[in-house]
Amino acid sequence: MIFALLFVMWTAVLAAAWLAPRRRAMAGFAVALLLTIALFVHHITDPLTLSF
Amino acid sequence: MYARSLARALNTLSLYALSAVLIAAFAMQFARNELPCPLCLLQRAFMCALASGPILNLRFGPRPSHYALSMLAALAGAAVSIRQILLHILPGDPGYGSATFGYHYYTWAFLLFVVALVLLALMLLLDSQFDRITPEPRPTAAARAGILLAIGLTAANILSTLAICGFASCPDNPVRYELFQRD
Repeated sequence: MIFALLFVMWTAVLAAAWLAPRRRAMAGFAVALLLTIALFVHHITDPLTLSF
Repeated sequence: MYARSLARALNTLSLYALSAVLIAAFAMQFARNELPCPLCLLQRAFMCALASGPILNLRFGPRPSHYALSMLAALAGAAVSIRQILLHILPGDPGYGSATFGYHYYTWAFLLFVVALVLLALMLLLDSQFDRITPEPRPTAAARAGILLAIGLTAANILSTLAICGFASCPDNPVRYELFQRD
């Protein structure tokens, strides 16, 4: 579920880059990038899963 | 002026190239029935994120900060793919999924992210694209189609991921579409 939400977020970021004011699009990118990296860090530090 | 037109053309081209990569990923998923793992999904997400820079460049005109966004996405994507390469680096490990032209998908993803970084750095060398002489023209029809294609393929990943994972956590090694299972 969280990965589906991840793609919802990136779709919104790309749509914002096309439709929203520049500053808002840049801020959206920054937030999305941080959240995606956080998800990656969560996965690599989880001792129970390898994520393949 | 020439550099600016060239930059616009190359940004449009990059959107089609990114879309081609995302279409290839879907083609492998459906043709070979090889479902993407969580790390694979993260690589796809960063591949989608790469499109942010070209879209902003086509809408607001080329700026170094737009290229920087794509470079950050490429760097993060390379980190994820190298993590997956390292998970399967031990001798005898068959790797995740099948190989295409001798390399697994995550190895191809790493190479593509590195190529993207190099191309973005080369684009930044075109200094005169950043000169603002005239107002930015409206993106061409080809550019608009490329933008919509990239956004559409990112949105298609929402449905694909929902089908693979359902409403629960994504399995480490997905072998079926969880959303369509009754048990």
